[in-house]
Amino acid sequence: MKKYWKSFGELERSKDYLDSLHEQVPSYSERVESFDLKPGDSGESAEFKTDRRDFLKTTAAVAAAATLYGCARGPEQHAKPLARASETVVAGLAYYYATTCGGCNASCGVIVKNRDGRPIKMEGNPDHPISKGGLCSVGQAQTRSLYDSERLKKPRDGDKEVGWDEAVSKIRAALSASKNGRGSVRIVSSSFASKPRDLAQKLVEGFAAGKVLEWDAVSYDAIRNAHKLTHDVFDIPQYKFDRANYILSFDADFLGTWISPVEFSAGYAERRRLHVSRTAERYDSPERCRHVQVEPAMSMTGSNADLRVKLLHGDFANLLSLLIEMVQRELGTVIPASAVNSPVDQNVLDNIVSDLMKHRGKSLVISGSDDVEVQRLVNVLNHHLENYEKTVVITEPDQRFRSDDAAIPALITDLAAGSVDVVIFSDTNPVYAHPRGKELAEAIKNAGTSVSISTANSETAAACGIALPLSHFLESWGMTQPVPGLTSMSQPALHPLFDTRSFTEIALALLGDARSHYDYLQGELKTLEGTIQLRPEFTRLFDQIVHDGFFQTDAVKTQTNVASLRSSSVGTRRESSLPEGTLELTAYSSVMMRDGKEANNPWLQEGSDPVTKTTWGNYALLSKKYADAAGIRDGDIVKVSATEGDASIEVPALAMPGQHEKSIAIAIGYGRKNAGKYARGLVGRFPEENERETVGANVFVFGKSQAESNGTRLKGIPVKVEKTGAHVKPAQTQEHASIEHRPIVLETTFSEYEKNPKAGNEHEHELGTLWSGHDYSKGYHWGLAIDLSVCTGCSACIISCQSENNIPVVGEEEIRTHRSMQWLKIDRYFSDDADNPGTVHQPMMCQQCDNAPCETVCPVMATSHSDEGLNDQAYNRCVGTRYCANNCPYKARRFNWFTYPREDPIENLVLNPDIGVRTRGVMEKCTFCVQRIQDAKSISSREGRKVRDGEIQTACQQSCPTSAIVFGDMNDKNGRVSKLMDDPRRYKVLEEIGVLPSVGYLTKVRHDSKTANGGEGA
Amino acid sequence: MNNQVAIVVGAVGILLGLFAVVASADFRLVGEHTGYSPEQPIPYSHQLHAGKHEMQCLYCHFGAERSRHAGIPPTSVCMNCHEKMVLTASPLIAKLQESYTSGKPMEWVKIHNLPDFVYFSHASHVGKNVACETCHGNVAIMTKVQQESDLSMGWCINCHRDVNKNQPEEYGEVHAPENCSGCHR
Repeated sequence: MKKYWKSFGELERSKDYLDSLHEQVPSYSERVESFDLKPGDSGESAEFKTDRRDFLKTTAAVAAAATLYGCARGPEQHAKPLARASETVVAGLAYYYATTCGGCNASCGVIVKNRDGRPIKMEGNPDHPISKGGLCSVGQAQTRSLYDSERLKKPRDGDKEVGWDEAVSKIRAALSASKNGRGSVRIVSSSFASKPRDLAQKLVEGFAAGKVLEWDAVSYDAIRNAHKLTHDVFDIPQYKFDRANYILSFDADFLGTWISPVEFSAGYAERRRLHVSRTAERYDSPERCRHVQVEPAMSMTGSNADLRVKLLHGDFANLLSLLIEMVQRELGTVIPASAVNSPVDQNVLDNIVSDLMKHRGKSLVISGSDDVEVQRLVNVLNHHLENYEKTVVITEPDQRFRSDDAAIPALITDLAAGSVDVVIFSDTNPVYAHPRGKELAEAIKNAGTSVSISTANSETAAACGIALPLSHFLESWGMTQPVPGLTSMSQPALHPLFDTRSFTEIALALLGDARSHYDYLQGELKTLEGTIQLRPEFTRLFDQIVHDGFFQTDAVKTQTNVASLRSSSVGTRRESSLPEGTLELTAYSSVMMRDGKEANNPWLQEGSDPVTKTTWGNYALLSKKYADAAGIRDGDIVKVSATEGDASIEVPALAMPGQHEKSIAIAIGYGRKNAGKYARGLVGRFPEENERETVGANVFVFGKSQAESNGTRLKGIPVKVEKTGAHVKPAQTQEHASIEHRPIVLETTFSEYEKNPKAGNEHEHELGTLWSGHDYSKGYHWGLAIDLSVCTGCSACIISCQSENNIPVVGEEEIRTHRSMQWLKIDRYFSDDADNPGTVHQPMMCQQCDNAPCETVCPVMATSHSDEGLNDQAYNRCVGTRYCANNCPYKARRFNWFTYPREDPIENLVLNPDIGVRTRGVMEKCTFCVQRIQDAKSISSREGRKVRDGEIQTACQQSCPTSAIVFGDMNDKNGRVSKLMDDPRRYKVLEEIGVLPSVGYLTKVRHDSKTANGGEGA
Repeated sequence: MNNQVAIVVGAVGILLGLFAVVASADFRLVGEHTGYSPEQPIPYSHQLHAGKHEMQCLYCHFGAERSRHAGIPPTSVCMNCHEKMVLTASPLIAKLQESYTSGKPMEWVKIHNLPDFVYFSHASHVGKNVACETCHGNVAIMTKVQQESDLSMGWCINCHRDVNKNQPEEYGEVHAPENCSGCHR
């Protein structure tokens, strides 16, 4: 049996680790010191001394007063119904609106749950062709961003707040002055998903030197440039993961952050799952996708791979060239033997080539590299493997990301030369996210008029003369065309909270167009290509489109020219060029923080990274070998500095399994100076404890100019690492406690599974019990099944749960003392080889045991068993003894140590009114979203029927991009959950202790990586 | 010695004070408000509307069938009759007129208050044919509405146990929750 472990400490049984096991939560002594209190000091001053008698007297008086007060009536409460009510809106009922997520440009379809006029929950739209019902953590956290009370609320000109009319007329005057003069205007925006681009173009029409620039902090420009070279189109293709039998990924985190992770996760899972996602029927054994990940540091995607090959970015081109040569040789082309040694083990290489040849036309080679040469070689390899138009569709290119890396350097040059009259930044933050951001901030001062349009304050807004507040996407209309043939609609789910406008509204005002956004949208829709304008009854059609959230038309195909590809050479080999004594930096997007736009979102700051399990800040990830050799312990603050230039940052180090010895990886998106209080760590009961200048450090400063496109590279940069002597305890959510080698996660391989569906899950327990058991035969018996085979660890469910259940954010210090409040966590277990381990992700929440250990120890009956199999928790009854948490074998209960601030009236709008807000001294936990169960039961009982299978979806289940979580009534023998519970793969965690949990896990099945440990790079 | 006398006198004083409160007509247990009948901004009479004119409860409290909240009717519901037809000139209706034209809500005083940790659903009860007066009393004879039931947990759960045991015909097959999570979440 495999040996599983969570941290190097556990693997090596280090002293620190063994010491930490003595306490469920670490000692408070460190914290006490920080309050300047010494043990034995009661914290009182000499003037105010109380002895025991005074204390008793005061207590008695207070108790008497409280009793008397309690007998009086509470304060009068008022009910204020609307003066004029809509006929369709009833107080207390939830309404759902389809719209398009604006968390990133991937344009997933969402359904917004609206209660009493305010959006409170983001749910995936199951009908949407892109996301198919899933939603990522960033999408889930959008309601929290909407109610960010530090958003820009009014237009600002210089230091003073102004009205919209004043701001708009000032910009219009500047624009017309420029038009009559030299006409030098720049509009810089994050990628326009579609229609607003036309408006921006219209704004610069007639200007002698007017330009619209699109720029994203995380760009896919290298892919576009590579296709310009190979296919003569400046586009990103559509990747079809659901058609791939074999995926070879060169550091593309396609399950976590790359291009469209929710869409790709769904496609990937479809090819790896053993059950049809919607019906829980067994698949008829199709060819299951094999996944090989080549990367220097372990990404979330890499942690799911069948085979991980550790390789530096500098060697990607070499490996790709070699692969192309070998594939060509297999295809019969005579090529002289290569002079360059393989950067990976020859066995691994041979296996990859034979698999690629076996799956020609059904394989997929991708890369997250920002090196155009690497991307060009990826195209060449895909071409030889005949993947184009099968798994890589370039004739219907992706429209979502059109960032031009060269935009900002050119802009800085123009601005510095003083040759720009008006510059407008829309929803983009290059001052923070561009390596030359500081230069840009200085250069902006040379522009005649500088305008920033953004929802929240940003570094770019601070550098601009005029800052205009942008409406959140939940407050505005919109229409995007993410891929050819699909138009995705946005509708406002509430009236703008502040005096804000959408980009379209601002652009229309600047153009002097009096139309509203709504009228403009209808006009645009009528002129849209395709058959839509021919249909009668446009209004009804429009209503239908808005209701659905999208509509589809025939895709228009793009012409490509692959002539250059046919004659293209593999190119010259580049020897790995990492200077002696340096490490290769991979600046990666983290699943929670992405490009840093949401830095002021405390849910995302506190959401742990799926692999490192760190929160509130970025860490310098190093290999264990390197860290040991350099004497760097976890949490030692290291100075990372570029070999060229003066860029340097200081971040805590963390040794990660599976990291290349010469690699260092640090997440981008942190180190935001102007984002707001949460980006400075000001959160929790004692915010000052957590305060820092910025949470984490800005890694964008290391970005390197790339010769081919004058753009930026964030990967493969040589850096030096030195110890600073400072140390901080990493704020991680999982490293504590021990699994004592118990079989918490089970896994097997597809080939074993084909022989025996019970493979990996053979052990059985004869369990006796002293309990009489529960009778669930009359009503429902709720259960949850989790398929570990398709759980990728993406953590969307964690944020979904946080949003649904009003879970407070506790802050970094509390995470350090293991007082995370998230009811649902995803445990990540490594197995076997510490250098390149296997990884399993396991969602863990209250298991709703039948013989629940928590219930028997509660002295006040605050937790008791329901007749539907739930461990009910009555928060108002709980007195906080914590006996239950101590007795819980799954550590699934969360104690509320403090009354977390709920004073901000704007932020409080995010709270779900269907479930309470708990106070200090109360034990909390997952109850299978009991509010959703009760709602569905109420409706079904009124309709005189039972709750239908699939009618109740828990929050974690609803958002899961891979449908790994299934909830339902185990009494319904035809229900999905019953079928999964009867599956031979199903096991229960810690079944042997006989607590009879209601959560079943399905053994993880993946391909056997024959050469799993042979993937050491040069 | 003097100290002890003071303490005895003080203790007797507190006890007498407590007794006075307990013995008074106003005394009730914590959170128990049976008979609560505050002044409303308009002396609205249920006796007139629901009693004399036999208006259906659900005409005004239209949320009761579908939502957790039965709802206090919006001003526009009052104005369905009072805008053009009934008592349009009354000075009391003028308050409604003002709310209706200005869009400013009426501030009615809530009578039935449940603690924040209780999730009671009108829809679940009305949908199972539980009559309004089962909990609210015979509102049709109240000129000024008062709280009829004590709305305590014991009172709720007694009824739930009762119907589960007796399965009254008018409710159909009924399974009233007796678990914590039926009301607390």
